[in-house]
Amino acid sequence: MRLYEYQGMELFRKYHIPVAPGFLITNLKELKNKNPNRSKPRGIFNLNWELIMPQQAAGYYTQLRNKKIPQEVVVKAQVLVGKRKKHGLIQRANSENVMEVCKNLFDKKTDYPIKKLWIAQMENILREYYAALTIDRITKKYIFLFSKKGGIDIEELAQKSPRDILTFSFFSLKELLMLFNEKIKLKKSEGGIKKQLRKIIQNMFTLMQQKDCTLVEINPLILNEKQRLIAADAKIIIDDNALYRRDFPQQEEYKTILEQEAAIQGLAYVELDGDIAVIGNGAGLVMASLDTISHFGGKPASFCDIGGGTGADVMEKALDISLRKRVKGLLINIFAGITHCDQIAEGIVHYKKRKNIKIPVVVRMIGTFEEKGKAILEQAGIQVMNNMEKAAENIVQVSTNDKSITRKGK
Amino acid sequence: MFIDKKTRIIVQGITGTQGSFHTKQMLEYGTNIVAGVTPGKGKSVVEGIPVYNTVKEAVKNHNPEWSVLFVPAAHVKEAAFEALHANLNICIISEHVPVHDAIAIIHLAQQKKKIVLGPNCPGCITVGESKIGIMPNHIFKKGNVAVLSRSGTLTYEIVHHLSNEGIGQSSVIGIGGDPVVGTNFLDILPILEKDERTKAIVLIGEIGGNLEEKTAEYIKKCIKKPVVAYIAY
Repeated sequence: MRLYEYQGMELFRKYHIPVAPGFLITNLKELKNKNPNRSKPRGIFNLNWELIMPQQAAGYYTQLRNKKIPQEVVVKAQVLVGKRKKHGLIQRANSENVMEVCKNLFDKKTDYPIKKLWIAQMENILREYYAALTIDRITKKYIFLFSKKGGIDIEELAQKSPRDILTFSFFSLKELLMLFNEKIKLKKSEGGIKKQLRKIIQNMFTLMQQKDCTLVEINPLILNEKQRLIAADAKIIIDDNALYRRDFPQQEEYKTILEQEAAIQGLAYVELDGDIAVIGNGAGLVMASLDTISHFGGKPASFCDIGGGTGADVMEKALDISLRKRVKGLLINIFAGITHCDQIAEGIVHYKKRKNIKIPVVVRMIGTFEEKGKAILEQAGIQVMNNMEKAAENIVQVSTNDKSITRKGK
Repeated sequence: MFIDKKTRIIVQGITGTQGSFHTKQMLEYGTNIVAGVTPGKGKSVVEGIPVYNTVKEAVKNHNPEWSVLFVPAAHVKEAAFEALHANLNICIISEHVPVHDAIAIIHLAQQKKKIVLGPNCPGCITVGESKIGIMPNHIFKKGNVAVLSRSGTLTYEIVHHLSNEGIGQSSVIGIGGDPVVGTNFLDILPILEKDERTKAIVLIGEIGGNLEEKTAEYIKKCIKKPVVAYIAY
């Protein structure tokens, strides 16, 4: 689960990683009327307003409101997409035009609604660094990434000049600090910075472990004119598998309504452009089913993975989600290992009895308890196939030939 | 690879629905399961296999080499540590294990010089000899092609095709679909290169991460046996 910038900022503050003073607004009225010292928290973590906004920022906000300071602020749309600057989602403003800039951002037409703005004090930037901690598949450890060329897209930098990014993998805090001392080389003029950076990275790792993050990224990590390092952005991803032990509330993400609902039901579901719905067990198998449908000239309408070892109830949920979208055919592809074919079959039959499925359905089902599963389906008049290629070819044929069904549907 | 007919194996989480069902399947395949472990269920018997409260007791009485884990994700770290401290190699079937737990488990295994398969893996099989994990018994056919895969069910699909075409397998290993797994393609390929039963290798990748790219580089440099790879996209 990816966190919004302001949520990341709150966590940084909790873990003593310096951030630029800032505050969150969810509508323009808040900017006009709210007394920042009394207002209730809007943050998702339900921290006190004071925690989101320290004394310093509160004072700053009052000054800004009273138009006593001409200084500039940065207004940043809180959305979970990259390259916000490029898309005009980060704007400079001052006390004169801050209201207008905020209004424009709230009104901005994008694929995703802009519901929150983070307004931060503008820092005088001497230098921009990049610092991140993440997981490394190859070494099976944590990995630290650092660059003196912060502020730009790190993936672009990695392609253009990989030498500008320093990385090392480590397991423990001790190892991290040891390698940090050894590998991070800064000029003499940057001497004081190394100490600050060391503290920041130490705190980033503590945060990463205590909150089960798979990514903690600061880009840019800026050096201001007071020679202080400050996080000017926060990108944090929490391990979905660890959410059960970390009390983060469910995040709204940019998914279609069906995708959101599927996520709540615990299904991996993705909407696609075509007209044949696909349900299977295991992401790899469903991906291969999509490939095969495309190979025979069909177009998949959706990807739905019911996972391993799931039963009739999950199969019914998958059918319910997948068939709510108008489709011309449905392919169910089950290769059961830990899953039991009979349970899946019961789910399909039960759903068919409850709801009248009008479109062609092809079931391919083999593996654990395959005979039992096939018997249940055949009794209910559903044809079962053994071979994935034939099943895919079949569903493409029947769903493209059977024009009458779509007409009736309309 | 990794296991043969004689390899002594215990099952952690043997009394659960999946644990007991797949214990039966593994026994039917010929796997030498010597004991099971479920805390609080000691002295019971599953499929004729004695159950113990701790790995330590099971090890003392049966001297196993591997443990296969059918344990809920939240308890995997504890169970894996218990097995590693008893000097066992482990195969983690469980899905949804937090990645920080996986890293800690793998780190301990490296210190103990033990093998970790998974998490979130279907297990491994030495065809015609022994199977640990959840792959369906009947799809395999003995032969000379090794199958290495990041995916679960797609592995069954491809193995099934190979068998139907008369192409038998030597070993089939599911490394697991999680971002961090104990044993990946790069760890297994050098062993397969030397494995006498294996004449060719099928590799099944997945989208996400750079493991496939690194593996391709490695194969080009170090693997002489023919390799065929597939990534669904």
